[in-house]
Formats: sequence, C-alpha cells, structure tokens
Amino acid sequence: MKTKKKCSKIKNKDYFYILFYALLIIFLLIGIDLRTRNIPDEITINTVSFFYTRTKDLYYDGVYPIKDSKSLYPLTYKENYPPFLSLFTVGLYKIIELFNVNLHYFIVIFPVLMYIFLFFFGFFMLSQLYNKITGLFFIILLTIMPVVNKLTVKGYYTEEALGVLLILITIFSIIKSEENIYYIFLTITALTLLALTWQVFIFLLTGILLLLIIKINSKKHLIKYLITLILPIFLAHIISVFLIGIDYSPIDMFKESYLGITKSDTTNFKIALDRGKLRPMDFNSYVEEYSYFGVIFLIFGSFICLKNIKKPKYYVIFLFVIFSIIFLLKYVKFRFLAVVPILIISSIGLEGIYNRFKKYKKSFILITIIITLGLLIIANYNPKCEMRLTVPEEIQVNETYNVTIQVKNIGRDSLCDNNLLNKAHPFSGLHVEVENAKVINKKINSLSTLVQTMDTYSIDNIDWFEVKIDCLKKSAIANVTFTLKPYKLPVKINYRCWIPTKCNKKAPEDLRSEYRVSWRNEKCLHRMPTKGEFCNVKVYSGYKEKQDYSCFSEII
Amino acid sequence: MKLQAIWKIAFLTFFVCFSINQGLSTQKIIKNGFDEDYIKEFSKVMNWLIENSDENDIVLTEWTLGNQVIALANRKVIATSKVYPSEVEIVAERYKDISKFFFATSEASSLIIVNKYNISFIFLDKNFNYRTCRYINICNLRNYQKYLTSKNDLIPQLRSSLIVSRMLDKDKMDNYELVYNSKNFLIYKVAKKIIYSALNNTHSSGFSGYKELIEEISKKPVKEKYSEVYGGIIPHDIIHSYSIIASFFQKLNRSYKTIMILGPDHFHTSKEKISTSLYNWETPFGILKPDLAMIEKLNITDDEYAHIKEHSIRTLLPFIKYKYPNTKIVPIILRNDLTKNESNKLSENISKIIENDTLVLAGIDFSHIRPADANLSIKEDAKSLNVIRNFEKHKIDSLNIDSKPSLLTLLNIMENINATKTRLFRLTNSALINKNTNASVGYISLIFMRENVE
Repeated sequence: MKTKKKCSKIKNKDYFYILFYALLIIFLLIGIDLRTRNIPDEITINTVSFFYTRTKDLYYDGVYPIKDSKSLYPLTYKENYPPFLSLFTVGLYKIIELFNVNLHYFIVIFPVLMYIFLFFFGFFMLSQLYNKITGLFFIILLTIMPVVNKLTVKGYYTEEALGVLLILITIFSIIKSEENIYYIFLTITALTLLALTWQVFIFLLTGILLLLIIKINSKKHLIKYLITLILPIFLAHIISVFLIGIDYSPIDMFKESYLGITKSDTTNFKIALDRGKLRPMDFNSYVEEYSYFGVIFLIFGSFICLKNIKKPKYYVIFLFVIFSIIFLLKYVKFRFLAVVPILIISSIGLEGIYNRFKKYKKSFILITIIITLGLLIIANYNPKCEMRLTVPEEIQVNETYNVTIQVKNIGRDSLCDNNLLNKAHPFSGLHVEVENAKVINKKINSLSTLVQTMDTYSIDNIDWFEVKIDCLKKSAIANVTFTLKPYKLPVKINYRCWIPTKCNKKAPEDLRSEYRVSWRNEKCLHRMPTKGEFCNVKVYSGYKEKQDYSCFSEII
Repeated sequence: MKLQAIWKIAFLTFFVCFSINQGLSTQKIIKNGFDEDYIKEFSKVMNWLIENSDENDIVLTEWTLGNQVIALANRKVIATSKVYPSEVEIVAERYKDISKFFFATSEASSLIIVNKYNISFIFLDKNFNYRTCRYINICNLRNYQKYLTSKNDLIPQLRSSLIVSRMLDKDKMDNYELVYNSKNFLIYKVAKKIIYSALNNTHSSGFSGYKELIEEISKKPVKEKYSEVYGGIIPHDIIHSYSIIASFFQKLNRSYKTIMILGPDHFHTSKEKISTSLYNWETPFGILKPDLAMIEKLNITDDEYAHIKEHSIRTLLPFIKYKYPNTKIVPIILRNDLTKNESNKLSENISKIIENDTLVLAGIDFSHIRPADANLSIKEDAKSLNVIRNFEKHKIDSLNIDSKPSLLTLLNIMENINATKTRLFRLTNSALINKNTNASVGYISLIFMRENVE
C-alpha cells in the first residue's frame, strides 16, 4: 500500500512538471508568435531609427560612428547617444551571421530576441529569488502584457528592450547582494552596461539611493550601495568617452535631467520636446499598457510585499515599484522603465493567490471587493459636457446683444487624436439655434484646445450654427460668444452639446462610409441634454438621414 | 490538501485562459499599431529617394520622420526627434523653421527656409500634423481647421494659401515640382531656377489657374479707354466675372501709384470691423506690395489671417498686378456690422489721405438669388445701380448686395473728392453668363470720374 501511494505521489509530481514545462514552451511560442505574426520585415516608422543607422555604420565601417552630420544639417557634432545597443547588436550578429542571416533582418528581429532573453533570464532569476511558480507567472505576464509586446515586437529596434533586460539583471543582483555581497560585481556590470544603453539608468540609481538611505546603519551595505551608485557611472564614462571616443557620458545625463526638470516650462523646451509620451499617465493609459492584470495583481503583490517587508526580496521590489509608479504618473515615457518591477510584483501577487490563498484568505477577499468596486467606478467615469448660458435679461428689436455659452468637460479627458483633417476625427461640439433674431457674428475662445465654427445658416426664422471643439480635456472650457439682433420677440435659443469618449463599440451601419467610426456610436457619446424636446434643426451628424437631438431652450 | 490542489488547478486554469484572451487582445492592439501597407509604402518611397537624389541632397520633412529619412534613405535632414534638454534652443529653432516652411502663405516666404538650409527635396506625409502650428504661434487663429480645408461653393478654386495645403492639394507651384505621389506620401523637388526671390511677410493671392485667361482677355482691344478715373466698383466672384474684371482694368488709361481696395469680410473673420494687411502678395504675375506709408496714415489694424481667408480682395490682385506691375495696394476689408457713423469716419480719413494718383475700388457682388433667376437679378441690380448713380446713400440698406459698408464708404469718398460722375461698363449676372448655375449673383462694373471730364 505504501509503495502504491509513493508511486502515485511521484507520478503526480511528474505530471506537474510536464504540465509546468509544457506551459513554459507554449507561452514562449505564443510570445514569439504575438511579436512576429503579420508584421513586416521593416523597422517600424515610430521607432527612433538612428540606432539602426549607428548599428549599420558600426558593422560596415568596423568603428563606432563618432560624428553626426545628418540629423541637424548643416551642423556636424560628436555623437552623444548611448553606444551599447549597437555594440551588442553587432557583437551578437557576428555569431548569427554564420547562419546566413542578413543584418537588416537581424536588427528587425532583435527585439524578439530580447523577449526570448527576458523570458529565460526572468524565469531563472525569479525562480532563484522566489520559486518556480513565480517564475512561471512572470513569463506569462511577460508574454501577454501589451507594454512588453510593444517593447519587444519585431521591428521596434530601440535601446529599451536591452535596457529592460539589464534592469532585470540589476534588480536581481541587488536583491541577491543583500545576502551575498559578491553579487555587487554583477550589479556594477549590469549598471555600467545600462548606463551605456539607456539614459533612464538615472532613475534606477534613485531607487538604489533610497536603498542606501534605508541601509544607512549597516556599514557593509552602505559601502556596497555607495560603490554601486558611483562606480558604474565612471566606468561607463571611461568606456564611452575614452575607449569609444564619443561625446556620450552618463555624468552629463545628470545635468540633462536637471535641465529637464528646471527648464520644462520654457517655450523652446515645450517645442523641442513636444512628445506625446511626455504627458502624465492616467488610469486608462496604464490599463492600455499593463492591462487589468497589471492593476489587480500589482495590488495583491504589494500586499504580500508589505506582509513580508523585512525580507530583501520583497522590500527591494516594493521600493522599485513605488518609484516606478511615481515616474509613470509623471510621464508615459517611463512605461518601459516600470516593466520589470511591475511584472515582478504582479508575479508575486499571482503566486500569493496560487500558493497562499488559505493564509491570506480574508485579506484577499477584501482586496478583491475593493478592486471590483474601484473598477466599476472608473468604468463609469466618462467625459461629460456641461453648458452655461448667459443672456441679457431684457432685449429689444433691432438692438444687438451678446450671448455666451460656456462648454465645460466635467468628466475625464475626451477622446482625442491629432488628425484634424480626417473626417473620422473625434470632436466635441455645441449646436446653437436662435429663433427670431439674426446671428451677426461669433467668437470662440478656449485656452486649452482648438475650436472652430461653421457658418451661420438660416431656415425660416431660425439662424443656427455649430462649434467643433477638439480634444476637450478634463475641466477644460470653451467659451462661445455670439451677437444677436432680434427682429421679433420673444427670442428663443436652443442649444445642446456632445463629447466623445473612448470605446470599442461598433460604428452604426447607417453612417456614411467616410464617417463610419466607433466614436459616433451613441454609446460612445455623452450628449446634453440626454432627453427632452428636440431641437428645431435636424442635422446629418455623419448619417445618411438627418437626425433629431434634444435641446435645452431659453426664451428671452 | 485536496481543496488546496483544486484551488490551484482552478486558479491556474482560469489564469491561463484569461492570459490567452489577454494575449489575443494584445495582438489586436499591436496589429492596430501597424499599418503593414504604410510601412511597405514608406520603404518604397525611401528607395525612390535613394535612386532619384544625390547623397548630398538635403530633405525637408516633419521632424518625426527625420530619423527614418536618414536611416532608410541615407539623406541629410534639418531636424529629427533626437534632442537633449541642453539642445532645446537649437532644435526648437529647427522645428520652428520646418513649421515656417509648411505654414508659409506664399512660395516667396517658404523660399526663405529653402535657401537657409539649401533644401533640395520636400518629403511630406499626407497625414500631416497641423498641430505643429503651435511652434510659430498661428494656432490661436479663429476657425483654423476650416481655414485649412474650406472650399467655397462660389469660388471652388479658393484654397488655403499654406504651402503644406497647396502641396497636399497638388497645386501647381512655380518653385516646387511634384516628383513622387503615392497613397500616403508626396515628394516635391525644389526647382533649379527659383522663380521668386525669397521674401518674408508674403501671402499668396491664389487663382494662378486664371493666369492665361487674364492674359488672353487683357490683350483684346477695347473701344474706349478712360483716363480720369478715381474710383470703381467691380465684382469679386472670379468664376463667372473674370472677364468683367479684366475688361474693367483694360479700359483704364492711366497709371496709379496706389490702388485702395474695399471689400466685405464675408465670414466675420476679422476681430476688427475694419482691417488691412501689411504683407506682400504673391500673384501669378509677381509680387504686389502694400503702400505701408498710406496704411500707417490710415491707422487701421492689420489682420493677416482675415485677409488670407477673405476672397473679396484676393481675387482682384492678379488683375491689378497684371495691369499695374509697379502699383502698390491698400487692401481693406469691412465687416457687415460696420455702422454708418464708422463708415463715414473711415471715408473722411481716406479722403484726406488719398492723392490724385490713387484709385479706390470696391469689390462688391450684387444680388444673390437662389435658385438662380436672371431677370429678378437684373431687376434688383438695376435698383442698386440707380442708388449708386444718384448717390442715394440712405437707400443702401435696402439693396441686395454683399457689402453695404464698402459701397457706402466708396460713395462717401467719391463725394468728398468730387468724383461723382459715373460710367457703367457692364451690368449682368452669373445666371446670364452660365445657365447651369444654382444661384444668380449680380455684377456691376462701373467707374467714378470727376464732373468736368467727358
């Protein structure tokens, strides 16, 4: 009997390992497929393709290009961007080219290779730090999370994928060095290479500085962190400036960071660094990048870290997650910087639910309820337009009067894109009808967005016009002032507004084809008023037939 | 133990299924971020650039595409996305120069940037980012988007003067030749012989399509010519009335140092009721310059955007430049809410400042009747003509014309300078000229002379 039990136990364990490794292989294949299927063999247009140029030049010329005479013609200046990506790519390619792969193709699939490296390194490191289950969850999240896919998709050849790998190694070695000081060499190596790869190494140093402060009472750790903070910078500086001979220096990046913080309000700064990614990350953007997994399991993981905060493998990660979130809230640009800490803590959260549910049952149930409520509230927080009409109290025929309608977004940012001339471009708006008076002129102003009016049209005794408002952000206002000249009393003003939100609904079938976009689905539009008497003037709104919408009315 | 095992299996299964579902959503997100056709097309256009340009050629493009042009076509550009905070001053200037090129309102203005960087090619993504207007502070203009795309029924050739819009519309330009056109991209080559010299502060009048017509009509002989002309009324609806406008100028037999043109501000674009332009105007026949000395004396606010958008004066500029290559202009647009008192005050000012060698024109279209009715139009316009001839200014309000302030101001000026003798050149309407038109617009072409002139 005992032998039978022992046999079945062993068999169960075997099945478990088979399943475990099968999952690893399956997700690796899924990950590669997601990153390569139906994607052309070209570097993507939205990448910063000067790394591509540097790598090509390095391979064909044999030396790293020192001067740049093409980016700011006619100025020629010494190269001042990190060199390690190109060096690493060419170094790796020298091995791969034996298999008859051309350089262009290698560069294009390089990000996918980085995914494979992250996959294996990540699994190994997390298995070492925590356990194999955490490692498994890490690689699953790595495979399916949108932000990691964007980072490692075929064609997206930038320094960020390699940088994320080096961040992973750095964090791993920092945690390990808490118990075994010799891991400091790995930390220094990884940080040096990171400083030669990606300028955001500075933010990682911030995390290390915080660790230094926490460990200030321990002489051993204090010295360790001091060395970790200083040595990689100088090593990278020597390699870049003296060995390679370019102008890039990690020391200069401190100055650049300082300028970036202190000069960000100047006009030229706003022009030269006019980047969509230099905007704060809101909840919806975070979910777009990290999915709801990155919300739910981050919370669970944070809980587990706090419960075990005395252990280095939890407090180090928790610290890095905190400052990653802080930087993410400041700029979307740091979405890749935050990948490793968020993935690790989410994996910890998943492992906690998987292995320790019984231990933390009550807390997990409470967290689940709070998350569910939170998500329900956020799902309903949409952009909303509100109007305020200001009219004269008394009016006379043939005199002119100013009327103002203020349109305000009292919800979250409206749907917005840059393509102003596209008929599919989403916009908020105001529709105004004036009965028994002529609309003589109109003025609109809005500090925060572009606005434009249509001509005024006349039908019988009604003058009407519409105002288009682009990208009406949260709390933004557009003021519409028009002059009217009554020819009969009373004068009646009908008005309504609308504002689009992001949603994935299908575009209505009865829209004309050039206007067939999802934001025109009524479920994606907030209108005010939502019901009541219709306006006098029907409009097409992109449909084949004219539509009726409700209006507020004011009689003067 | 059993419960724990069941929990683990259930959770793992649930999580793996959700992960796969998330993976599929992620694939959609990634796919939506890629337009395979766009990427292939981009590669193709870069190859074209390699084959059809020289290694040392400079390409002007939006800064977002700069790196790609270097990487894939190995050509020099004037700016890319590469910038450190310490470099913002230089890079911002470059971004502004790129915007100055694309948002230039004449070829002459755009050539300043072309010459500055020795540009050989302009590479344009048809999905141009107009928001870069922020760099040079022209986004706070009213109706900016409409300004860029507006196509007026009455004047279908009205286009935005912006170089980028003209390039996207593939308008024929003197200094830029379209050499590549695909679904998403355009490449223009800078002409070897630059037709205009680079000139700052210049707008384009547009209507280059009428160049040959103006030349043809202006060469036809006329029976009579008039010397002592001080004022005139001409239409501005160029589509149907270009021959009327051309004939008007043909019949003038003297030179003018300055021509003042009054016209309506049709769309209330200007924030002022009376506004002028201080810019040069690039016409198919050359550059027309403003009479800045006279404008200064008049003390009128300039509103360049309103003058670019408004067509009532722009349509006349090619004709003026053709007939009077050395004459300067004073363009003035008037909003329809200009009161009689304001109009009188303006006329008084103008009358004091203008000299004998100044011609004051009003670009006015008369009756607007929809649907078209040629007879009704003639009837209405005859009424207007009577009022003009008899200087019955108190009746102007009842007339069917598109600029009562322009007419009132002109009549006041003509009275003040004793040029009250009128001579009608033509009274007609668009329905008589073109039987297929939807609306009839009345045209009167008339001059004002001094009494003792035959």
